[in-house]
Amino acid sequence: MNRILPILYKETLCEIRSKQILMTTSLFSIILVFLMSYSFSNIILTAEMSSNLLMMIILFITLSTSPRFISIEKDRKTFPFLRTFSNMETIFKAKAIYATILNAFNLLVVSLLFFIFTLQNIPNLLLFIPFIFILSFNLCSVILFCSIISESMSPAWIYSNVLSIPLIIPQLIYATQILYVIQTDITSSSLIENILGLIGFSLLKIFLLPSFVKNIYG
Amino acid sequence: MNNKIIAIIQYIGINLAIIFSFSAPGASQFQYPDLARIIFWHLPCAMISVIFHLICGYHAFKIIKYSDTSSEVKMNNALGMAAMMSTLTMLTGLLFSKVQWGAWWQWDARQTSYLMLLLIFSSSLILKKGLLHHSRKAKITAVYNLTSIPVGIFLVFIYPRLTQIMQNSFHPSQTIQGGLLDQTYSFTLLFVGFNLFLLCYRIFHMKNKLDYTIIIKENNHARFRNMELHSSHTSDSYMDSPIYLSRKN
Repeated sequence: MNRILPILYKETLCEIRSKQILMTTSLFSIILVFLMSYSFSNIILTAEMSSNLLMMIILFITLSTSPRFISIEKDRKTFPFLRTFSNMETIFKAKAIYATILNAFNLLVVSLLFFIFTLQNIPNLLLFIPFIFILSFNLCSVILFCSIISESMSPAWIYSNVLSIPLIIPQLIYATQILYVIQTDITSSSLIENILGLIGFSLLKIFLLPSFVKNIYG
Repeated sequence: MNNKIIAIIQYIGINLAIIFSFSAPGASQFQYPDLARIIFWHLPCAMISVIFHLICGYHAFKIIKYSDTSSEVKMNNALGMAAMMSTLTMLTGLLFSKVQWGAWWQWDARQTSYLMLLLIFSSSLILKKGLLHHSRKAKITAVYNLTSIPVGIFLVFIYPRLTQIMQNSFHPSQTIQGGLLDQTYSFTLLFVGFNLFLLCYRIFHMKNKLDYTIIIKENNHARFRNMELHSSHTSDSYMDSPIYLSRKN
């Protein structure tokens, strides 16, 4: 943790210095959720439809905004310096934590806006907030991992997206099911099954991905 | 055993498998009983693709854990075989779906999960092509393939059995496990599956040998070029590092 904190601090400072990136990504998310909700404005969405639609919005936002945490270092040519400061495994962990937190807050705002725009009931926040954080971690860690893998390929962003989507399919399936159950019947037995599945994949990512990154660039 | 004898046994086996699969009685519970016999090839293709995905994962693990570079060829070929078999699974499945259920695509749980599996194989192949001249190519592809193993297991074994998904599936889930399959069908299915697997494994093995030979020849060519460039090398240096023209099995 002692090694991760300075990188987290550095990321926060960079984000504060260049506020326009944060503002642009937030604006992009809001525009996207508005457009998607607007296209369904004349239709009363069922819980199944809304959970799938929201998951697509979440996926699209995360895919568009998360790879920047890796590509920004490449653009500023600061990756070699960062690697002299710390090893790749720690950099990956720090970036994944930072991306998860930032993305989760963004997704929370987006989801609440989506529920308001599509006239849906806002689900139980005590369940919904941890769910968004776990989902955000799952998506961000895989996308950052694929961004690192495809860092030397050209065009890196398309490779990163193509490689990460098949790996996040199970998490998306579990998340869609959870969202559906949260919106309809919170007492359903399948809720536990899906939550366990999502947590299982999160644990796999916590244990596997950093060691894989270390193995490649160690 | 001699290679030729194995080849002859396999040739006979695969021909018998074709004959058995055509001579088995039609499945009466289907709309077109005769055409339902496609499952003799559809099901083994699906199983073999999963087996080759696991073989690919095993070799990926060997590359990561022991830096075993010889496993790179095996991993790539296993991935190719898995992709080919899952494509065949999809094609036979589409045919079955059109004939028996009336549409090419049903959003059936197993259809969907196999399409996703095919996407995983495709992205792995794209990664391999994208990293053609990368120094860490073997490790990066190995890591990606190993990451895809839990996803593959989820898609094949867990996803079709999820409570909400299972309700809408056309695929029978208890026919084989519950022992409801007719004896003739069980035998034919096993026979076709076993022979198809042997055939695939033989292709996989031959492709590995071929790729090894190509790699060794390329390395030798590169070494020849280096030796010609660096004229300081004497004829003794050839003896220090002999050039391999073939590789022992």
